[in-house]
Amino acid sequence: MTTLDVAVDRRAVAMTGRGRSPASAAWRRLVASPAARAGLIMVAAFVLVALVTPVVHLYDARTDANLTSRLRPPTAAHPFGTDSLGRDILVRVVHATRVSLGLAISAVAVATVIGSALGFLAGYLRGRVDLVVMFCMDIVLAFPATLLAIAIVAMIGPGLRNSLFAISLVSIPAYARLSRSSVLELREQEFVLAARGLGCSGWRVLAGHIVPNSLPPLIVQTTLSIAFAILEAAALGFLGLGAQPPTPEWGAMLADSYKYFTSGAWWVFCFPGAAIMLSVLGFNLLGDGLRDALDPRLGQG
Amino acid sequence: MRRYAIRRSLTIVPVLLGVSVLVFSFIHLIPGDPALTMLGERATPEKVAEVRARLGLDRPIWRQYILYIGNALRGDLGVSIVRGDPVASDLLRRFPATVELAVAAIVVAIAFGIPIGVASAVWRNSPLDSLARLGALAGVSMPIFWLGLVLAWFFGVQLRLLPTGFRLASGTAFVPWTNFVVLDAALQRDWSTLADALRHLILPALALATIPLAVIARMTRASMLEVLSREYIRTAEAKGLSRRAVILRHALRNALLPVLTVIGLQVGRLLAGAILTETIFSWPGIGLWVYESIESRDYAIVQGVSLFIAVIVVGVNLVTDVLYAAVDPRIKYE
Repeated sequence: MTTLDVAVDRRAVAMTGRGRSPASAAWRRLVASPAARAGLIMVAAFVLVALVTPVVHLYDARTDANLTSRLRPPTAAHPFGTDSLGRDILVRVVHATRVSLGLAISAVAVATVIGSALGFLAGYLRGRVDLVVMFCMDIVLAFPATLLAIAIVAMIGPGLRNSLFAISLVSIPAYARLSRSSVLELREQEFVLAARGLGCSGWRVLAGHIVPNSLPPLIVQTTLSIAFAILEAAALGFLGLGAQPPTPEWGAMLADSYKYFTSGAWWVFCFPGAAIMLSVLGFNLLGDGLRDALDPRLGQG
Repeated sequence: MRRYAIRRSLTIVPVLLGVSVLVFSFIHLIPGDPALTMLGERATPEKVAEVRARLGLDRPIWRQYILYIGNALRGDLGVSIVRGDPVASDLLRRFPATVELAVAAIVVAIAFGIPIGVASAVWRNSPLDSLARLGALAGVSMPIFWLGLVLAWFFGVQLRLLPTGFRLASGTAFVPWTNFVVLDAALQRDWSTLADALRHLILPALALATIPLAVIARMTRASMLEVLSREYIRTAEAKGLSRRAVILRHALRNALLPVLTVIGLQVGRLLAGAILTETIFSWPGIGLWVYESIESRDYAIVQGVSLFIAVIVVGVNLVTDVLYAAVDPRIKYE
């Protein structure tokens, strides 16, 4: 057991009054809330679909068209109906889960790593590094995130990789600000001063003591960022800037359905949109639940 | 206070410079030759050279930036590659439509968001509160372009109650003065046009209002709960004031400050959301214009609108901060 574990454990013991690890105490608080439980189940369901789909069902969007059954309403054979090219919408929504969720999660992963690294460095080194990093973040934040993402992809060209780049770029400032403020708060705490007093090097203090203790707010932010990134990815797809046809992606499917909604074909836009909303709602519920669970100081909110 | 306002105003200068550098660099994000990309493969070399010269791409990059910022400061945002019109004048001509939509959306968001938030806080943990909280969370999770489609389909196509596109019925003989159609129709006492304009406004405004409404409701609830736990509320109750007076006069007035800040932060969201909403509802503002320009690779327009919106967002944030300091005497600034 390292000094850090002891420090964290003591805090947890003091807070919960019982000898559990902080992670398991947080987990108990999380699943005790019905809203967080619902979010957890929704997120797990979408992630499961994304992981399992390619194993149980092969899909080639290029050959999946059946012009004899265009725009058919839901039936037993096609529970979500068919789209303008006669493709089964259920199959496309399910396979799009992988594309949309994959894009959102990878964009957030990149943003988390880069953003929190920048924030930790800015907060720890202070001075000029801090000034430059936070100035860059302020500039990115001057733009509405959706607008900046759209403008960047419009310039560098449509596609999944460029969408990933744009979405992670606009998600970075939240992490940089959060991790910077954590460092500024933690660096004056007694356990950090103690570690320094024991002769730990600067990097060891940062990596071994400050970073692990600032994880809870970053975990919450990651969950909420994924929700936001799913929306951004869908918006880019809807504007024709994200996944390119015939790749199934929720936003792009909505863009396709947009041409047919006046004909009353509700199933074409209903299901991809519902998938976006439910997955975003799931991550938001989970994020709110995690915020309450990971910060016992907030009490019963 | 005045010193704070001045110092806060000065902080936007470097931010605006940074914003202009970022928007300027957009054109260099285009892979390959921007002029060739804009004109397409079949453009003649003379035409490409002409566009390169007009964009200043044949000069060193720092000269290009000086040129760009100099023009922008004089209100010149370049020229549309496709139509040849100056971006700035088209922008100003189209902007009123977006403002009209955004104002309608924020009015809806405030009119519903604040009462919902107050009720949610006052009857905390009641079924009403749970419903409002779930509704607000669903609201922030809503892809507004999808909501727009659903609204347009249900009210426009199924019920045939409301129009699903444009600002006025086609063939309306109406000459707007300022391009704020609702305002113009009211000023011209053209009541049938006013009614028509409002009918066209309802669906896009509802779609655009969803996220701000949810955010305002959540913030009002949190802020009200915070204030309601304060000592002075207990004092007011102990004085024997009616519950209504305590909630509206003592609690809500103090709870509204953070809500005001959140409303200020919605301006950027509304303008970005307008790109999606206007696309769904063929609303001829700057959002639809951006969408069309992306399709036709008219990059000067994307650049111009981005810069314009960023400047507005920075300006609104400045005003919100200064107002906050002016309204709340408890806050001291170094």
